[in-house]
Amino acid sequence: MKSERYVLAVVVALSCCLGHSQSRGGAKESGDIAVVVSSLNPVNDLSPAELRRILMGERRFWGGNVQVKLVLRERGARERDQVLISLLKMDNKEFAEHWRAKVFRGEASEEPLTVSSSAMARQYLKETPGGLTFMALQNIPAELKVLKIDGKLPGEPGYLLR
Amino acid sequence: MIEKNSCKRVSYGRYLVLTLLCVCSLSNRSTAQETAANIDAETAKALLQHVKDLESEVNALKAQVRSLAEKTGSPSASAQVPSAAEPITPAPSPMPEHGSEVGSGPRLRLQGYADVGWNTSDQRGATNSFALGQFNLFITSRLTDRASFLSETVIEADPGTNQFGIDLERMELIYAVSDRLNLQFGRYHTGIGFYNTAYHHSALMQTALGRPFLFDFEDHGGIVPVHTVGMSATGTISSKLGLHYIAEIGNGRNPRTDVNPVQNVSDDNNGKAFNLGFLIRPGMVPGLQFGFSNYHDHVTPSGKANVTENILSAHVIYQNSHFEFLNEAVLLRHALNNVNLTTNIPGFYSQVSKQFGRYRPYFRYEYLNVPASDPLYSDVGLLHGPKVGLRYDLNEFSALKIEYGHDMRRGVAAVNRLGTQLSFAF
Repeated sequence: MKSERYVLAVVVALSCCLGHSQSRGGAKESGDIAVVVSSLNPVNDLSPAELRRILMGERRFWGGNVQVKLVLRERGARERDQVLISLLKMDNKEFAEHWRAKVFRGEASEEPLTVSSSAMARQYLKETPGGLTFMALQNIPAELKVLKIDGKLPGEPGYLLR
Repeated sequence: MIEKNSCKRVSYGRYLVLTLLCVCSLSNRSTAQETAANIDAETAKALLQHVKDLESEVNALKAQVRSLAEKTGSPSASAQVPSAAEPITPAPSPMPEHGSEVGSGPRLRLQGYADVGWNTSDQRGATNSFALGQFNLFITSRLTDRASFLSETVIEADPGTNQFGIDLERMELIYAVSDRLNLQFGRYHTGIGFYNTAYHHSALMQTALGRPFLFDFEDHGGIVPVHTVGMSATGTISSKLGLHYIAEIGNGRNPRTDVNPVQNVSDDNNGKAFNLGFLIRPGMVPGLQFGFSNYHDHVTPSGKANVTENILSAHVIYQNSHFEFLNEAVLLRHALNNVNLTTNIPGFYSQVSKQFGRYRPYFRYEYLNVPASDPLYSDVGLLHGPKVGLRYDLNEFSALKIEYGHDMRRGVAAVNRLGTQLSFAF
């Protein structure tokens, strides 16, 4: 009887391990886009409205008067296009027009920085405490922080950016 | 008994091994199946993106090597960088532009805007003409992390003389303290209403051919002090409510016709013009904005009694990329000092437009009524009428517009106008 229990316990343990590893893999490959900031940034959670205001250049500072430095991937990258559509209901042309007008009005000194790779965005965030970017989950190094949106992390049900 | 037990143990051992093998094979099988299933469009897209990332990085590195080779003038180094076969992508700077805070000097950026057109009307004595619009050199420069500079230098011809003139329309030093306080010093567009600070001297940025008469420039016959030289503070009062403020102090305007109405260097009196406004952009309805402002000044016309001027304005705007509905009303109150006479000048405009692909039809109705007893602008009189037009976006940086307007004035025959305009950025 003892041996049977032992076998059962081993089988259950193995199943649990397999299931756990598979579910982690699932989160990594969920296709969700993470909002990533420097690990020095004390913010952990943003509401969709706040994130929209940051993208539109209406919120320019974090708490403590550290400037928000928005870094976006180039046109055509999913981390950019999907975010613009999901959050702002805008395409790249409309987004560019919005920022051109904003600079023209003197409400921003320049458009958000555009980089051509996730590696460049990562590097920028490591060097810039106020930086914020959008990344696919598999591209996020441990030293950067993933923000919750409306209390949800990427991979969780109901996450906004997917 | 011992044998029996050992047999049992052996059978349990076999059972354990078999179970483990089954579990392993099942798990491998299921993983393999899932892997196959997971290589779907999403995964392929992610992989392609990753490859694209790597390609970009390789290109960036190649560009760096190339520029280093050019700097050192080493033919061998430049020879090592293949160029003909590889795709030419704009070489990204090794590290982003607005990031390098340490040791970065001012970075000047120049953007040009211009427009040309053809206009005609049935006004007696008027001729149809091709016309150069404003040639606008828009300069911005990021001075530090928080300070920036902005200017608009406009070259345009006077319709009466055909002579070109140069105007420094805006010159602002901007300092962003926080979301609650943003300071501007210099010559700026006065924060009266919406249109005046939303649109400046670029025809491309505006839907219609020109500005509403209410917000026309001073040297085009406008009656609102569009420009002010002084300082301005703007900021957010409540981000939850979307409540913002604007507070300005400046030189005010000169009502004399023989000098520039914008007092760029010297004020003709010691009283300063004040403007205070509040506006709300509710986060729940992106694109909606409403607000009001009050501008106060003492105007000293030559040979006439001084005038206390108050300009009250209110606006309700709904604007996004596809649709706009702009509504603004202004009331100018001119009170003659030491005389019990106050005149009210009401004015408003409404503009609606909707984007259909590259086309944007629009309609505007404007109204302005200056009483004959007004001490400053009695010659303007009553002006009202509709404008209807079509804007066609050739691309992101150029647009073609055609507009018909029917201007009605008090005591004068109505005038039909037709205008076309090609506006572009360069």
